[in-house]
Amino acid sequence: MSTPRSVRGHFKTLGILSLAAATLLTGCVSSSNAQESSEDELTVGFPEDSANYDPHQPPQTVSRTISRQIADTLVDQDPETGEIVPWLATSWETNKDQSQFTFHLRDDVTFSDGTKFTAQSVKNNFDRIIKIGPLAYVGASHLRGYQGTDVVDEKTAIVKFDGPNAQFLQAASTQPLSILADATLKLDPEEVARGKVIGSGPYVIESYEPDVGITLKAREDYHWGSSAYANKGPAVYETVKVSFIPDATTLAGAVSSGQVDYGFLLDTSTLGTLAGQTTLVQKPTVGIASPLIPFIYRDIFKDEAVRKAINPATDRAEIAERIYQGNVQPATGVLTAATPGSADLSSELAYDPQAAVKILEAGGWDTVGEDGIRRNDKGERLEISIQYSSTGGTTEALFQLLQIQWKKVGIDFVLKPVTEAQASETGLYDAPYDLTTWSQGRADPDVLRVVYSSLYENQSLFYGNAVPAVDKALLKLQSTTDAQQRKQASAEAQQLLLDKGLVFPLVDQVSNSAYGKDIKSIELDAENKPAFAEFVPNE
Amino acid sequence: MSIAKNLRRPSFGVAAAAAFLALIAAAALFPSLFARFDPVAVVGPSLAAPDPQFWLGTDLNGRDVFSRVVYGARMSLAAGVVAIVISVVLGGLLGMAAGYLGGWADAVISRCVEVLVSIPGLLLSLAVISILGFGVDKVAIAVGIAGIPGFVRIARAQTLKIVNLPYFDAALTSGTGGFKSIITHVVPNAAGAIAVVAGLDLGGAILSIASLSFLGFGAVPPMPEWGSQINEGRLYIATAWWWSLAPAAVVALTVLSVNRLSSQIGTKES
Repeated sequence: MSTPRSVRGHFKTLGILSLAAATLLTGCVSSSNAQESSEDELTVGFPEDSANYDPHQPPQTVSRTISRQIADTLVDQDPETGEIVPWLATSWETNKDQSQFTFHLRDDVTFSDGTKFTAQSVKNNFDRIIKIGPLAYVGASHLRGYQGTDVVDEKTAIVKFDGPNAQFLQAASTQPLSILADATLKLDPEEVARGKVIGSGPYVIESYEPDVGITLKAREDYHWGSSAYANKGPAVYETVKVSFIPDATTLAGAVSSGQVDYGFLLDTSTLGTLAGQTTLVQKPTVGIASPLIPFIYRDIFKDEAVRKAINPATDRAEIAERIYQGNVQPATGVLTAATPGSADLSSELAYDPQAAVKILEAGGWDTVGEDGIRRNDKGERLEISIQYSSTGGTTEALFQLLQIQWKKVGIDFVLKPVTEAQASETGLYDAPYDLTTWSQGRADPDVLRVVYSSLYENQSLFYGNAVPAVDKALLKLQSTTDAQQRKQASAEAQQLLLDKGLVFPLVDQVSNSAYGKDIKSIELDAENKPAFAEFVPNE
Repeated sequence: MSIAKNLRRPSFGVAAAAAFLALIAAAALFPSLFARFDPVAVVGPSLAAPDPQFWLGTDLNGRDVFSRVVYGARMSLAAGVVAIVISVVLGGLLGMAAGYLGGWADAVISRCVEVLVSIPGLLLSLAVISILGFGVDKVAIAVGIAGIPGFVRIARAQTLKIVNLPYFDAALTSGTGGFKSIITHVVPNAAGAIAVVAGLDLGGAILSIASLSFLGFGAVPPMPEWGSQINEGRLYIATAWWWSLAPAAVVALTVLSVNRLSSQIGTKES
């Protein structure tokens, strides 16, 4: 019986190994890069690497966070007041209809390769963003209608648009409009993406090892810090060592155990494991409230009754309480409540299953089958499906709760877990399923225009399926200059989106980060990204 | 005879293993007798600790973990059995063909098996799964396919042993057809050995299925399955240990029980 015995041994060991491997492999990732921190070294844990570190290119939080440290922007946004304050530009003025912005620039700023920052740098950067267009789609959407930059003299640049562009000043404080050195702009965008970025920020990238980490070194000659923060000079921590720790519990454990000084983007599920000496920083996110967005080209969502029934059928308070353990608030509008220009539309988002039933019945979904699912006169089941890459965790738990909630009004929510490879086979505009999750942060209501219009391929959900009234309302947001009128326009656009059942906002997410006992204080920017130059160690 | 003797006076370990397996099998066949709640309904607060009402606590959505483990037994056990049946039937057929036909057929089948054996079983299952897609049924097929090579070897060895015995030659020379001889002489004689190994492999198959489900390939939510339940609760292991630990303990006990029983039978058999 020697053959069967060895076969059995083989089989069994592998089974055990695989279970162990899934938990252990992820647990070891950080050990090579994270070590005991010395006094002037800040160790940081991020949950993921980004494939692209060009500040102008795709806007994932991790890339934006690194960009925030290595590059500066023309202006900055005060995280407390939302006010736009000077940074590389000391002052600015606009013409009457906000189609021209004149920036007066600092003349003592240098990039980390020694070259000087001038008005020409502003022009070269914005020209490059337009030139690489689709690669820098967020920056390009901020610069919509860009006609060029006039270099009046070394210290003065005029940015011109073909019409009013009220959101541009705030946009100039975000990383997609970072100012980089000419040497970087000349490179192939792919090379920049791999981390060859020269900016004027308080840190420079010293080394980048994909999937392992990034090391940042402070610039000693830095003295032009943003006026939103106390520290205008060089960063206190000479070195910042970022490790990528993809497993959520391991990341939380790394902060708790002091393996890293600071953990960014902690998963809500792991907050209960943080040790007593760790300080948790929770900030409500700015941007769109975490939504499900219907693909309106799918048959089931061409039906307005179905779209309109989803919001009253959704119990947001239960989602916040169970899935997020009370760490988040139910959505009160299409924007999060913390976003400047948000509107309180919570009455539109109240849980009212009876109303949902009425809407569905009026819409022709008036027979309930034995399985509790509604059918229309053609006998079709009321089925809504979502496809997602299966990772378990909070998202899957959320979908299961929605499944239970929607079942109560007769909607069958079908979950289709797939591998990441399968998920990447279809895009936003040819999906074989009906709904998607989305996230987009920005401390300005104009974020609505980017996500919910039909204007930009790959970032506007209704691209190719324009809802003219919505586009009109959102473009008004860009062109309205008066602050009060802008708030009004934002509220109107959100109301319209909800009335037409074009978005199902669920909760206002929080950004969780935590630091250990070696850090005295930290600062987050207007998008809740850490500003490492402002971190202060304990004596 | 020795099996019968052993079954008459089982050790405590064997008795406990048999009792536990009987319980799990009953849960798989009649889950509603054991479960106290609907496994996919919200019945309590989120992440409630085990108490008299919720014996194994609740999960994030407020579903009863005990009821989910009970209903999970059906999927996990059935998947394990399906996987073994696939391995035994396909492996047995190929092995007997190789052993009986010999020559080129044997060479081709045996080399293919050697190639498959050189690939770790779980990796092979993962490759199959990525073609088939998600779901417990597909996981069972994938694990079953990965188990085929072992049974090809056993069936081939047993067949070789029997076809070289004088009575098999006698059967052939007396005019019985080759196919019929295999059915009447090879299958019954090889069945014992194959059955023992199948029993031993059932534990491994259940574990492999749980592993693949843990990695997210298994049951499509909200249906409960042990491996995917362990995965669901993984992030909360520090704050709500019962969510992952309960299904994990059941998987471990089931596999240990299967191994204990089948190795007992295996020792007596040989």
